[in-house]
Amino acid sequence: MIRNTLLLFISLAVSLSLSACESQKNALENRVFSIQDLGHKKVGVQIGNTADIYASDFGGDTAKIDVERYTKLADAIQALLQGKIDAVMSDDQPAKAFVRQNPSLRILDEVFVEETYAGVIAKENQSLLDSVNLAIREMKANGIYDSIFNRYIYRTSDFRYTQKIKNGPKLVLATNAQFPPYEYHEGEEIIGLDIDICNYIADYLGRTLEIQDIEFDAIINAVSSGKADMGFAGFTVTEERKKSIHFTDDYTLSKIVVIVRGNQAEEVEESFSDHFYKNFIKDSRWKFIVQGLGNTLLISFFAAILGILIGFLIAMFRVNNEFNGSYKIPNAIGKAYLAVVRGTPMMVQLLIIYYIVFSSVNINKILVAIIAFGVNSGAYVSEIIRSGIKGVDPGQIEAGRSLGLRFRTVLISIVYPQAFKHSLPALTNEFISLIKETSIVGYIGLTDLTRGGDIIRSMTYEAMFPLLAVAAIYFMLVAGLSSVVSKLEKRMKKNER
Amino acid sequence: MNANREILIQVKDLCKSYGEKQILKGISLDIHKGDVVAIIGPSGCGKSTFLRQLNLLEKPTSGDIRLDGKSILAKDVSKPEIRKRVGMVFQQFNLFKNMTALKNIMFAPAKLGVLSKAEAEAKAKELLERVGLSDRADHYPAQLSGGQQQRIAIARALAMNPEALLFDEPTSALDPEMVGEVLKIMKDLAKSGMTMLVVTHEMSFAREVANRVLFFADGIVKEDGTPEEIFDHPKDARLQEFLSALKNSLALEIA
Repeated sequence: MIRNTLLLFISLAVSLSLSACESQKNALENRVFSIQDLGHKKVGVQIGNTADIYASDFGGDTAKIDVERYTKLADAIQALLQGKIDAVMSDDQPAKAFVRQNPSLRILDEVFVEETYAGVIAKENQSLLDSVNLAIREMKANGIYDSIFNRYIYRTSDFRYTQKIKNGPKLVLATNAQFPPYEYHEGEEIIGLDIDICNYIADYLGRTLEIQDIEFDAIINAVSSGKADMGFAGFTVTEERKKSIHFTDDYTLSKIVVIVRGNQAEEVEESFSDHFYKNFIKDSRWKFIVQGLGNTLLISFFAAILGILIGFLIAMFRVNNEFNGSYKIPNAIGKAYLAVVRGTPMMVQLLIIYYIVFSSVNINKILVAIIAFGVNSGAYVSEIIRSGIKGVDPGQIEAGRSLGLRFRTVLISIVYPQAFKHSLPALTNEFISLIKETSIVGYIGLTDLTRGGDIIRSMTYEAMFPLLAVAAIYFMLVAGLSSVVSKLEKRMKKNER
Repeated sequence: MNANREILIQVKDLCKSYGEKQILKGISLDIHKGDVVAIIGPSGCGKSTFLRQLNLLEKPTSGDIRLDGKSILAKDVSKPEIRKRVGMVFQQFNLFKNMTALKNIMFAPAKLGVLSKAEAEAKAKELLERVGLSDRADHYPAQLSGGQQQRIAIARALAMNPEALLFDEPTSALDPEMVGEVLKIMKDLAKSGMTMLVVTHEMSFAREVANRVLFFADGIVKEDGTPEEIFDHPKDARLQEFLSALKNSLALEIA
C-alpha cells in the first residue's frame, strides 16, 4: 500500500520536474530595459529589505510597481527565472552573486539608488553601540577592514578574519545567511563580509561570537527584544528603522540594482545526476537535510507528548465539569486557553512565545519550539479527547456508577479506553498536521527539514531538487506514522470484534 | 400482604420534576424483603424515573427513600455504598465494551475491595455458570447476542451481592426469541428470594413471577395489588383501558 503511494508520488515528482524544465526553456522575453520600464511591472523584493521601500514608492500614482515580496532573495530569483515576475530589486553585491550563478540573468547598468550599510543594536544598549563603533573605526584604521572588503567584494585576496577568543562571554549576532557576499553558508559554516567584521568586533570586546541564523525580517525584533546582542545583515540606514533601533557607524556603501532576464536564453544542459550531485553530495549538503530531519523529529515527538499531556488534563477538567459541575476554575481556564490557541495562527503563537514570553530568558530554541507546538497541539488534542469521551455511550457511565464505582474509576477504567479508541483517527490526523506545521520553526532560526532544504536552495539557486526531497521525506514520515496507527487500530479491533 | 416480612425499602411521598414538568407526584410504598414487584404502566408515566431514584442515579425533588429504615438521601450517606446494596440492570445492558464478559462481572467487586481479585474471579465464573454462559467468559460484549449480554449484566449486578435488584425494562431491547432466556434467569432469581423491582412490558412475567404489581399512571401509583387483583379485577379506569389496549395489540400480533 505504502509502496504504491510512494511510487505514485515519485512519478508525480518526475512529471512535475519535466514540466518545470519545459517552462524554463520557454523563458519569457525580458520586458525591462531601464528603470523607466519598471512601472506596472511585477518586481520581486526581499521582505524587510530597503529595496521593498524604494520599489513601493516608485512611480507615483501613474506608474506604480507591482511589488511581490519574498522571504528569500533566492525565491525571488527563481520566480524571475520562471517568468513569474519581470525583475528583481536587491543590493548590488548579492545581485552580482546571483547573476554569476545564473548566466541567463543580467543587472541593469542604471543604479536604482545608493545607500550605506550598518549594524543594528538595541536602543537600551548604548554602551555596546559605543564599543562596536570604536571597533569598526579601529579596523578601518589598521587596514583589516580593507583586506576583508577586498576578499568578499573585489575577490582580490584570500584574507579572512577569524575569531581569536574562543571561550569568552557570548556575543550573539542575529543575521540571515542568505545574502552573499555579506553572509552566506559555505559548507556547514556561515561566512561573509559582515561575519568577519563581527569576528573582529567580538575580539575587540573580548567576547566569543555566536551566530543565530534567522529570517531577515525577524532580525530587528530579535535584537530589540534582547534575543541577540546585535544584528548585521546588510541593513540599510533608514529613518523608519532608526525609530526602533540604533545603527552602528556605517561600514559599506551599497547600491540597489535591478536584475532582469537576459535576452539570450542560453541554458546549460545539466543531467539528473549533475543536479543531484550539486544539491546533495557537493560539500556534504545532504547534512542540512539530515540535521533538519533530526530537529523536525525531535520537535514533533516531544511536542506531541506535551500536547497529549495538556490535552488530557484539560479534557479531564472539562468532562468532570460537564458531568457534575466540579473544577469550575480549571474549566474556565481551559476554555480560555482553547479560545486563544485555536483563534490565532500557529506562526503568530510561535513568534509570541519566542519573542515575548521568553524574551528575557536565555532558553534553548528547540525547547521553545517544543513548548509552542505542544501548547498549540494540546488545545486540539483536548477537544479530540473530549469529543471521544462524549462519544462513549452514557449508559457505560451509568452502569459503572450503578455498581458503586467512583466517577474517577469509571472514567479511567471504562470511559477513557473507549474514548481513546474512538479518538485514534482524529488524533493521528492531529499529529500528522503537527509534523507538517513544525516547518515554520525557521522563523525562530531553527534548522528543521524545511529550512535544511531552504539552505541548500540558497546555495545552489535551484528550487526543484531540494523542495522535492523535503516533500518526499515529509511524505514518508506521515506515511510511516499512518501505517503504525492503522496497525494499532487493527489490533484493537481484533480484541473486541 | 407480606406484613409478616421485614420492610427493606420505604418510599415516602417521592416527587420528581424536570424544570416545570412534574414526573412523579408523590409516591409512597413499602417494599418487603423477598418481594418481586412488577411495575407496569403507559410509557412516560415515570416508571423508570422512579426506579432510577432508588439507587440514586437520579435525585428526587422531594420526599424520602429509606433503606433498612435509614434515609439514603441524607447528606452524610455515601452514594456508592447505597449502590453497592441496590443493583441495577438496564434496558440496553450497558456492559463495559472494553472488557470481556468475565472482567465485566469481576471488575467492580475487585476494584471496590468487596472481594479479593481471586475471589472476584471465582465468583464471576460461578455466576457465568449460573447464567449459562461459562463458554463466553473471554468474549467482548460486541461478540455476544443481546440476550447473552443481558444475562451477563444480571450476573454483573449479582457479583456485588446486592440486597435488592432493580430491572429497568430488561427485555425491551431484545429480539423476541431472546426474551425467554433472560426471563428464565430472572425467574430463578425470584425463586432464590432476591428482592426485585422490575419495570416491564412482559405481562406474562408480571402475572407469573411477581407477587405484587404496581400500575403507574400520571406520576402516581394508580393501583397496587397482587397479579390476580390487577389483571383479573382491575378497578381503576386507566388500568382497564391500559389492559384492554394491550389485549388488542396482542390479538393483532397473533392475527
